[in-house]
Amino acid sequence: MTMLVAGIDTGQQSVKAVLLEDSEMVAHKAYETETDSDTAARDTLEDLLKEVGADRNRVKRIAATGLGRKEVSFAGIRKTQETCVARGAYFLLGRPCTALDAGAGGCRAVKIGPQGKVLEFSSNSKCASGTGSFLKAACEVLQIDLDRLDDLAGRAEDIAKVSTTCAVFAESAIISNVHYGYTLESICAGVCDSVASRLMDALNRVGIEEELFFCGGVAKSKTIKRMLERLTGRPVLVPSDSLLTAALGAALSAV
Amino acid sequence: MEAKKPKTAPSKKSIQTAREVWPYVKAEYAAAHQAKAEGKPVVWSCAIIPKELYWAMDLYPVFPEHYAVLTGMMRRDGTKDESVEKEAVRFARIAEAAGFAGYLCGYARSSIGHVLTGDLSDAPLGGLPKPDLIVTTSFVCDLRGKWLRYLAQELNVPFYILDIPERGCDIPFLQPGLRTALLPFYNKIRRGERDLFFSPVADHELDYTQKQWEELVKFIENVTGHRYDQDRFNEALDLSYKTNELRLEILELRKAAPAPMGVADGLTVMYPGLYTLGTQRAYDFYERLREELRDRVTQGLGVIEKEKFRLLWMGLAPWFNMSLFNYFEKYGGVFAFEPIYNMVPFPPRMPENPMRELTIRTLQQSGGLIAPSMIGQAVSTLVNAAHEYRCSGAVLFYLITCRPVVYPTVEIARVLQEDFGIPSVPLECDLIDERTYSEAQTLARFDAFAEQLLKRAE
Amino acid sequence: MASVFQDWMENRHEKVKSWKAENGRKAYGYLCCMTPEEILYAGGILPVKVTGSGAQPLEIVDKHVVHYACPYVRSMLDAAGRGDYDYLDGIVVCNSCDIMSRCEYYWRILSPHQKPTVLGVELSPYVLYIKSPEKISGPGVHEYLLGEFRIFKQHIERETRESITDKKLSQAIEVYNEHYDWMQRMHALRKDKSLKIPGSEAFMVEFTALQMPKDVHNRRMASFIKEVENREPLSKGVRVFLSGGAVDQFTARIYSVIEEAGGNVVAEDIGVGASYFGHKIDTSIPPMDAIVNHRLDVHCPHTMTSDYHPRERLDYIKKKLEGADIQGAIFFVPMYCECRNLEYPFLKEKFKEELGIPSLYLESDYGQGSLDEAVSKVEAFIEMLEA
Repeated sequence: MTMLVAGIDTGQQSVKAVLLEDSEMVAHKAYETETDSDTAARDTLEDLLKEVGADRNRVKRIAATGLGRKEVSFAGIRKTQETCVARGAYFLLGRPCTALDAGAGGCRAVKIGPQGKVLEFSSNSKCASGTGSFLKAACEVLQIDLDRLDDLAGRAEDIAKVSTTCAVFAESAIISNVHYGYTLESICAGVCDSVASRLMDALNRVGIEEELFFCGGVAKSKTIKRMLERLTGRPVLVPSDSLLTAALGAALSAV
Repeated sequence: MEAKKPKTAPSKKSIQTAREVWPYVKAEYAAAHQAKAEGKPVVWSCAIIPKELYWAMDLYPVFPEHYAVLTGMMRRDGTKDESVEKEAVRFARIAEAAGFAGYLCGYARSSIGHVLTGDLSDAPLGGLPKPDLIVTTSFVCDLRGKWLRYLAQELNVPFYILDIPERGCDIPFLQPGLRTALLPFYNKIRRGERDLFFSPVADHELDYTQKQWEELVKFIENVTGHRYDQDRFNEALDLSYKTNELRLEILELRKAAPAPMGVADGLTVMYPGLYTLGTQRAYDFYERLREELRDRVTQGLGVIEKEKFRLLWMGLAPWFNMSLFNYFEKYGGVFAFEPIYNMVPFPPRMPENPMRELTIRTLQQSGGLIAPSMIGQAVSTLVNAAHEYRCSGAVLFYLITCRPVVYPTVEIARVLQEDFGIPSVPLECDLIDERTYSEAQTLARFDAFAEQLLKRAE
Repeated sequence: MASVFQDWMENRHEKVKSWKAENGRKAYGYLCCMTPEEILYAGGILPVKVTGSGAQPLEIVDKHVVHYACPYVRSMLDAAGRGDYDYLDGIVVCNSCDIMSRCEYYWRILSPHQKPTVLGVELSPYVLYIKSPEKISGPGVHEYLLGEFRIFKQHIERETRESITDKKLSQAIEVYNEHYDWMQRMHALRKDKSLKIPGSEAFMVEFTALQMPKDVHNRRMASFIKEVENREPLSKGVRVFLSGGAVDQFTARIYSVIEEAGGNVVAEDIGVGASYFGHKIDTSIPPMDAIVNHRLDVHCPHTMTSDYHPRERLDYIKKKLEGADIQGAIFFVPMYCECRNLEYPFLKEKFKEELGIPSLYLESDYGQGSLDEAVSKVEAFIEMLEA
C-alpha cells in the first residue's frame, strides 16, 4: 500500500486539506470553521482519511501551512504560505508564473521560478484591505452575502470609489457612498475595485513577467478576476478549486 | 465599467492677471526644451532654493516639484476623458511598484515614477528635458534631498545639496534689523505651554550657509564650465528684491474687504515668484498684478460681493481639485489668504557682497519664502495671518504625505480654537494623488463648517 | 545570554534613578547618535538614550500630533507626556530628521520643566536643540558643527556650574574609545563563520551601552567577551543584515523573530550604537574637533555628502559587510520613515547587483501588530534563502 502525504492549510476562518498518493491528489476538503487550528486540522484530516478509507498509519508525513500552521501540533513540517503557494501553483500550471493568493487573512504575490522556487514575494496581512476579511466586512455593512456582492458588482455600470488606504476608513467611505446616493451595484463594484487595487499593489511589487495565477478564497470572485485582467492587461488563470493551492503545495513539500 | 471618479476641476479665478499664469507656465516649459536643444545646461532643482544664481550663470532650471503639480492636474496625452487617471496617479503606481511607499510625498512619487518610465517625454507638455545637473536643498523637508538624489542616481547626473539645518522651534527669523511685534497671544503664554522663541542667527550659521552657496558656485563651474559673474548675479538679485517689494504690497492690498483676490488666485499667481524670481518677466508680472489689485481695491471689487465669512487656508494645495477653493462662495465665504508661497521681507541689498546678502536671506526662513518649517514658525505664521486677514475660520490641509506641513496642524488647530476662538476644519488627502481624496467626506465636512461659521456671523 | 547586561536591559529607568541618587549627579536623555555624548560625560552627566515605550493607545500624544508621522517618535513623546522620563534632568534633540527635530517643541509642551532665565534667556534649557547639519562633508561643515557643539557645551557648563576642560574631554574620549574598541571586537566576532553571538544578544549589549555609564559597561564587556570566546558556536542559520529604524528594547523582538525563523543577524544598520560608529575618536587633535569629526562620519539614512555622484550609504554598508558572508538583507523600516524608505529601492537594487543578495522589506508600526506580521514574512524569506 502506498504511503500518503497530507497538506493542511489553516486560515483565520477556514481549513483546507489535501491528500496525495504518488503525487496525485486523491482527496481534498475545505471547510469554514471557528474552532482552533489544531482541532480543525485534526478533524479535517480524519474526514479525508475516511473518504479514501485509510487510517493514520498510512500517512507518511503531514505538512501545515497558513496562519495557524504552528498550532497544528501533529504536523511534522511547517512551511509558510508563500512557499506552499509557489509549489502548488507550479504543480498545477507546470511552468513558472506569478501567483496571487488572496484569502481571509491576507494576500501575497509570489514570483515563481523553475521547480516552484520562490524568487520574490510581497505579502500583506496587516491591513484587511485586499483580503477576504475586507469583503466580509463590506458585506456586513451592506447587509448582503459575498455571492450577492460579487453578482451586483458584476452588473454595475460604474464604480463608487472607496479609498484604498485603510480598511477602517474604507468602511466609513462605503457608508458615505451609501448616503451620497450611489447605487448598490456601484458600491459593490467599488468594494471589489478596492480589493483589486490592493492586490495590484502586491503584484506590482514583484512584477508580472510570466502568467498570472490567481488562487485563494478571493479568487472565487468573478468580478475581481475581471478587474485584475483589465488592470494587468493579461488573462488571469484561476484553478478549478482556488482554495486548495496552498494546501496542495504543503503536501508537495511533504513528499 | 467606468470608475465614478470624484468631480475634480480647476478653480475659478477672479483676477485677470491670474489668467496669464497658464501661458506663462507653458512658455517656461517650452523655453526649457528650447534651452536643452540649444545645448544650454538644464538643472533640475526645487522650489525652496533661491534661483538667482541659475540666471546669473546661464543655467535653465526646471522643477520636478512643479512638474508634479501639472501631473496632478492633467491626464495622458492631455485627454479630458475622466475615465483616464491623472498622470500623477499613473506615475505614483510605478514608483510604488518599485518599492517607494505610498506615504511618501505625492510630488516625489509622481516625479520618481515619471523618471522610472524611462521616457521623460511621455508626460504633460512634452515632459521634462533631461537634466545636466541636479541641485536641491535640505531645508523644509528631508524628502526633497533624498528624492532628487535618487533621480540623480537614476539619471546618472551630478548632484548637489545646499544644506540649511533646521533652526528649531523658533518663530521665524525675519529680516535682521527689523523688530518683530510680539505675537497677539504672548500674554497667553504660560511657560512651558506655548513656548515660542526667537534666536538671532549665529556667526557659524551664516558662515556655513555662505560656504554652501560658494560650494554650489564651484559645483556649477565644475560641471558646466560656466563662470560666476558678480555683476549678473547682482542684476538678478536686484530684480528679486524689487519684485519682492511688489509682492509685499500685494500682501497688504489683499487685506481689504471684500478680498480683492482669493486663494484660488493666490495659489496661481505664486508661480512666477516661486520659480522665476530674479527675472524681468517675474517683475513685470507682479507689477501688472499690483496694478490690477490697486484698481480692484479702489473700486471695492472682491472675489464675492457680500462676504459672510473669511477663511484662512493652511498648507500646500490639493492640485488635482483646485475647485475646492471656490466651494464656500455659495455660502458667502471666501478664502481670503494663504500664507504659503508668499514672501517675507528681504534684507537690504548688499551689492558689494551679494553672497552674504543671499546667505542672510536664505537663513531667513527658506530663502524668504513662507514655507512650512518648524512648529513655532508654523503656529505663529497662522496666528498672525488669521489676525491680519481677519479670518473667522481656517481650513487646514491635513497633508497625509507631507510631514513638515501636516505635523503642526493639530497644534495649530488647538491654538487657534483655544486661544482665539477660531474654528478650523481639516481637508485630508495628498497633494496630487487623487486616489486619497474622498469627495463625500470632504464636502460633508465643508458644508457643516460653513453652517457653523454662518451661525457665528449672525 | 548576556546576563551581565540583563539588569540594565530590563530596568533601565530604575537603574538610572538609582545611579543618580547614589552618585548625586544628573542624567540627560538624548534621541540621536549625533548627540555629543562625550561632552555630557565630561560634564559628569549620564547620557541616556530615550526610546519609545511600546505602550498603546497613545492618548496623550494624539491630542498634539497627527497619526501619519513616525510611530516611534509618537511613542517617545507619549512617554514624555505620561511622565515616564521625568527623572531626566534634560533632553537633547538633534536635527536628525524632520520629525525628530520637531521633538524640541513637543517635548517642551508635553513634559514642561521650568528652568531659570536671565532676562528671558534660558541659559540651560531643559530641551536642548542641536542644529546638526545634514551634510557630513564639504567646506565649512566642521566649523559649523563645532559652533553648535560649543553652544551645547556652554549649556552643560551652565547647568553644572563647572567648566568642561579639554582635559576632561580627553578623559571622556578615552572611556568612549575603549567602548568603541569593545564594540568593534564584538562585531568582528559576529562576522566570524563560527558565530557565537546571536543578534538579539548583540543588540542587548549595544542597547545597554546607551543607557549605562560607559566605564561600567566597559568593565562588564571584558567578562562578556571572555565568556563568548569560550562558547560553542551556534547552530548554522541564514546570515542576515538588518537595516532599520526605531529598533529599541520593544522592537528588538525583530531579532528574535529572525532567529526563530532560522536566521541570525550578524550585522546591522539600525541607528543604535556601532551601526554608525565603526571607529574611534582621534586623540591626536583637540578634543572638540575630534568629537566633531567623529560625528561627521555618521553615514545614516539622513546624512548626505558632497559627492557629485553619491552612493556613500551603499559603499559604507558594503564596507561594513566585508567578510560577514551575508545571505540576505532585511529592512525593518518604520512607517512614514522617509529617509529609510527613499533609499530602499536603490539599496535593494545594488545589493542584488553588487552583493548578490536579495532583500525583504518589512514595515514597522512600532507595535506588536507589525512584529507579529513580520513573523510570516521573515519565515518565508528565510525559507526562500534556504531553498
